[in-house]
Order: sequence, then structure tokens, then C-alpha cells
Amino acid sequence: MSTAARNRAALVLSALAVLSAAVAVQAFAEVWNRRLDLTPEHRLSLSPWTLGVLGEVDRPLRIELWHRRGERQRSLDLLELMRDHCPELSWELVDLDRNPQRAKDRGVDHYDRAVLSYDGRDLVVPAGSEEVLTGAIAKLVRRTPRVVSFVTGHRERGLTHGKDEDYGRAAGLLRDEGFEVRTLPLLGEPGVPADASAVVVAGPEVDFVPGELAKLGSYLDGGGSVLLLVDPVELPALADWLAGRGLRLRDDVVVDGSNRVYGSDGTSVVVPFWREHEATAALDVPAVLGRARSVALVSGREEEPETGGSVLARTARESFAAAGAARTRAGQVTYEEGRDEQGPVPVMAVAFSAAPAAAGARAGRLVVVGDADFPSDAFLPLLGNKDLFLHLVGWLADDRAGAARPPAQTVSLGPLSPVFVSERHLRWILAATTFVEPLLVLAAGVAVVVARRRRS
Amino acid sequence: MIAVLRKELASWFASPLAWVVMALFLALSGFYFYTNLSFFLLNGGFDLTRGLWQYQFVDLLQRNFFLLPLVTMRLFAEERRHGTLELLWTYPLRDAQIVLGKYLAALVVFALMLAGTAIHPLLLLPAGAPVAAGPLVAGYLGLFLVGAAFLACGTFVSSLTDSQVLAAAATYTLLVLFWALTWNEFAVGAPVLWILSGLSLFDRFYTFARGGIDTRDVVFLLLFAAVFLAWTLLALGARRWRGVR
Repeated sequence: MSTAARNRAALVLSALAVLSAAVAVQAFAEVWNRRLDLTPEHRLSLSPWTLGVLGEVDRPLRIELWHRRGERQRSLDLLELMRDHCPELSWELVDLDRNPQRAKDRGVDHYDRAVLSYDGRDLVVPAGSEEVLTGAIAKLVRRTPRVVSFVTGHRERGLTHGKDEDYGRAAGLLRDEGFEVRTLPLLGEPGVPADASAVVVAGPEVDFVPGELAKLGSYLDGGGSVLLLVDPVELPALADWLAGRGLRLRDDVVVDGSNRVYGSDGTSVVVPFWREHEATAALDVPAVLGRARSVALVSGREEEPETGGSVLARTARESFAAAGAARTRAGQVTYEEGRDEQGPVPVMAVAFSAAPAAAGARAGRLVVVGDADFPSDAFLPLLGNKDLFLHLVGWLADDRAGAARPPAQTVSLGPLSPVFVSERHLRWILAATTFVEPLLVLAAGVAVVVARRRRS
Repeated sequence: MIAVLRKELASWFASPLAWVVMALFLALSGFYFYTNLSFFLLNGGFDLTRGLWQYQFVDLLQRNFFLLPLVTMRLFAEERRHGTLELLWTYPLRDAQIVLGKYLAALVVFALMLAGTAIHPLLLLPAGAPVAAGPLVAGYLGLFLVGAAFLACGTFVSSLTDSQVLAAAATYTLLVLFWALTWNEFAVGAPVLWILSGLSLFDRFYTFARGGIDTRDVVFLLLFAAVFLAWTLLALGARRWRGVR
């Protein structure tokens, strides 16, 4: 072998030796990885609740993640973290576009959905967040069925298929997720049964009597959960009761000419963004509301997302709340200054009641949505309506959530963003970062280069 | 090594190119900060870490991707073209000292460029924004480490040629490869994807951008830089016995 050939061989071997040593060190680092989570909310670590649920998994748990191309990393990180703490967990990433038939067979109809299989049962949930995935695992692992009671007696929506406005599909989905669905005639019962995980009031058209509201109030104050879906109809007793709990129902209808659902008259509105709150965690698809009314905190009440009340969703900036629900029935409605409320209009809110004295008891949860159409058979398949309904019920019915769930976001300063920056401040930021600082660097450069050339 | 570092820095800052690259980097970073902030303010409801800094760090990384090869292309290629590399070999310096001196000089320039963007979070303070330090520390550490990996890659490529343009182009090619390894993720099977994902600089940066630090990512990026620097040494050594400059 010539000297040149020997040198070349030595060079290649040296390069490979360097690479091999690096691979060996990296393999060690992969096994002994440690994560330093520097986010204020410890978002990159699993919550104690998740760790507790994963600790209960004692049989093989498989998660199929159906994701959009190029967005694999977002959920992969969470799955890897979970697998580190749960040896029974295995997962598979599946491209929805490449496997449409398999997706259909598995009941997957959106990107970013997870199909969980455990002990012969399958469950499809949004895959976007730790809370939703953990909640789904908890549903599969814990066998006691949770009861969702639908209040009757006020011409609420029915739970059978047949009419577009009824909740046949929604009730079926709840049963698929392991809930026991019951009806609850409040007037004839001594109170809300103790085993009710959540109570749903679906579009009442007749007002409540004081005794019924007292029963609901007592259930809430005992740590219960109520989902109230109210269309723009006059319900003065219910409105007064809600005002006592910090939430305001106005006599109005939300109108949105610019973001309206195609073909509608502007009173079917899209909710484009969700507030960062554990009640709406992982909702990543807008929802379509039917004829909606505004739901807000009573005047003067501060937002307290974790303990008090908070607005959860608003309509688009271009929308407005047309005062006087009867006005919109006459046809196209235009904004009237001083009478109507300019958007974004709050259409969904949460209020907590004080936690009962018993140790470990959680606070009651009341979620009010200013529309009862979105979970109806006609509206449920639209955009993210199904996710919204199932997620709200799931959050309300989760009896362990109060004490151990990760804390909700503490940011709640503005209607759309936790930061308020004036237009002038923003222009100033543009000028400072894009022009002033670079020009100062250039000026310094010119000074240095010229000075050095003069010296030399 | 310090002497090489000082010489490199002096030479770098005597050239208008350095200042133009820094100004360009800051102008682009500033404009992206402004657009990211505008987007965040209009479409808020997210927290600052995920809604603003994550986008901003990914954008800063892309700026680094385009500009850092301009920093490294001259390290050896320029010296070779001007014939000053042979002069450098005559100094009582080891190859490793020369390589490290030049590399550290490039790192200092890069660190100065990054430091210029530190005013971005400061500009939010008058608005009373809840700017948490932790995610910023993680993001900037990630930017620095990925930038250090870029620079090591560029240093290696620069040691192979006497053309600055070729050095920059080849560096871009290599970085694109390491950047986009997993973009066409469905063209390969799961086991191959697992390996590619481990080599992808973009995937390694993801946790940093979200405010976390994984020790495996830190180790990977340091090793990435170390391997390319070691290969630079080998390349320079090979040129000697091959009898080329």
C-alpha cells in the first residue's frame, strides 16, 4: 500500500473514530436524559395528576396519534414524556391523509386526534394537550361510570334522534365515552342526585321556579358541576340566579356579518379563539354557534380564572351583540351605536362556587354558553362543536380534577392577549428594533473601519 | 489560541462585512419580533412563551441559518486564497489552537449578534408584560448551541476549499440537510424516522424554543460542534501530507 493510500485510510478511520465516539456518548445521553423545565407554569413537565393516572395503568395502553404532516413533534414530546413514566404505554404516529380508510374505521375525523386502546375499549380524543390525553386515559382506566343528568321540564332539547334541534348524537357520544346519560325532572326530585357527575341544562324555553334553582344552587355549592346552554329567550329567574353567581345574561343576539357561516343570516357565528383555561384546554378548532346571546361577568367583577369567574370564549372583533333578541327576528340587523355592544362579544363563561368545607373537596363549576344549538344534531358535526361539547362535559364531570389538575394559566389581563401594547408603543418597537439598533451598529462599524484605515 | 482569537476578531471587525452582517441580522430579527408581537397581540389568548417567544426563537434560528455561513466562509478559505494560511502554519501554534482560535472568534461575533436581540423582551417591560426569565434563558441557550453547531459545520467546510462562495454554499447544503431531515417524515419508516429525528437540528431546538432544556439535546449540539471541529483538524492535517495549501 502506498503512503498516500495509507494516509487516506488513516484519515477515514480517524474521522469514523471521532464519529463513533460521539455516537456512543450521545446514546448514553439519550438514555439518561434529564429535563429542566424553565416555564413558569412547568408546562414541559407532567402534572402530578397525569403521573397519578399513569400510575394506575396496569395493562397495555396503546395510543395512535393521527396528526397533520409536519406537526408530529408537538404531540410526540408529550407521548415520550408519558412513556418515560408508564412502561405499559406504546404509541404510533399515523398520517391521516395517507390512511383515510383506516382513520374512518377508527372513528377519526380530524387531524390531531388520538385513539386510545385499553383493555378492549377504544376512545378518540383531541391529542393537543396533556389534560385531554390524561383525562381520556383516566376514563379508560377507571371503570366506575360517571353520570350526566339532563334537566327536563322547561322544554329543553330531547336526547333522542329525529329532530335537528335535539341532542341525540351528543347523548350517543357521551355514552360512547363511558358516561351514563340520565334525565332529571328537577321539579319532582328532592334535589340533584348525589351520583351526578355533571348536570346539563340544554336550551330551556320556560323559566325555572325558585325551588329548582335552589336545588341547582345547593348541588353546585356541594362541589357539583352544571353546564347551562341558554338560547336568546327570556328567562328572568334564571338570569337573576346567574347574576347572583357572577354571570350576566343580556337580552341580545350576537350578529357577525363578516365571519358568519356561509349561507346564514349572520346570527350563526363562529367562535374563532378559546381562552387559555383548563375548561377549554386543547380546543384547537373554532366552533359554530347557532343563534347566540352574550354571557359575561357581571359589571365590576374581576376575572379570576382559577377561583372566581372567567370569560372562556368570544366571537370575532367584527361581531356585535344586538340588544333586544326580538329585533333580529325581523331580518338583517345593523349595529346601533349606544344600544348594541361592539365585539368581540363574550359568549361563554365559567364561575366557580366556594369549595365545601370537607377536606379535598373541590369547588362547584358552572359553565354557561349563550347558545344551545351547537351540540344539536344539526350543528354537532360542524367544525369543533363535538370537541367543545365533549370537552366541557368531560371537564365538568371529572371528579378528581379540582385538587390535582395542573393550575390554569394565570394570565388574564386583556380580552385577547395577556399583554396590552398601544399602537404608538408598537410603532416605537418597530422603529427601535428594525431601524435604530441596526443603524447604530452600522454607524459603529463605519466609525471603526474608517478609524482603522486612517491609522494604517 | 488567544493570539489567534484576537487576530481574528481584529480582522473581522476591521471588515465592513462583519458590521453589515450584524446590522442585517438585527434588522431582520427586529422586524420579525415586531410581526410576531403584532400577531400575538391580535390573536392572543396564548401565553407569552408559546405565543410569542417560541415563534421568535424559531425565526431567530432561521436568521442564523442564513447568516452564519457568511461568518464562517472566510475563516480558512480567505486565508488560503490570500496565501496567509501557510504563514500561520509557521507560527509556534498547534493546529488545534489555530482552529479553536478561529472558531471562538466566530462564536464571539455570533454571541454579539444574539446579544443585540436581548432588547426585545426589555421593550415589553413598559407594557407591564409578564416576561418570565426562564423560557428566555432556555431559548437563548438553544440558539447559542445550535449557532455553535452551525459555526463548527461552516468552519469544517471552510477548511476544505479556498473559495468563500463555495464554502458558504456547501455549508448551506449541509445545514439544510441537518435542518430538514425529518420534514418529509412519511417518506421513511418509523425506525429510520427515529434516527433522523435524533439528527435533526430543528427537532433538537424544539424543546429549547418552548422554554425547556433537555440534557440530551445539549449533549447532541456540543458533540455536533466537536465532531465538525475534529474533522476540521483532520482536514487541515490531510492538506499538509497531500501537499496542497
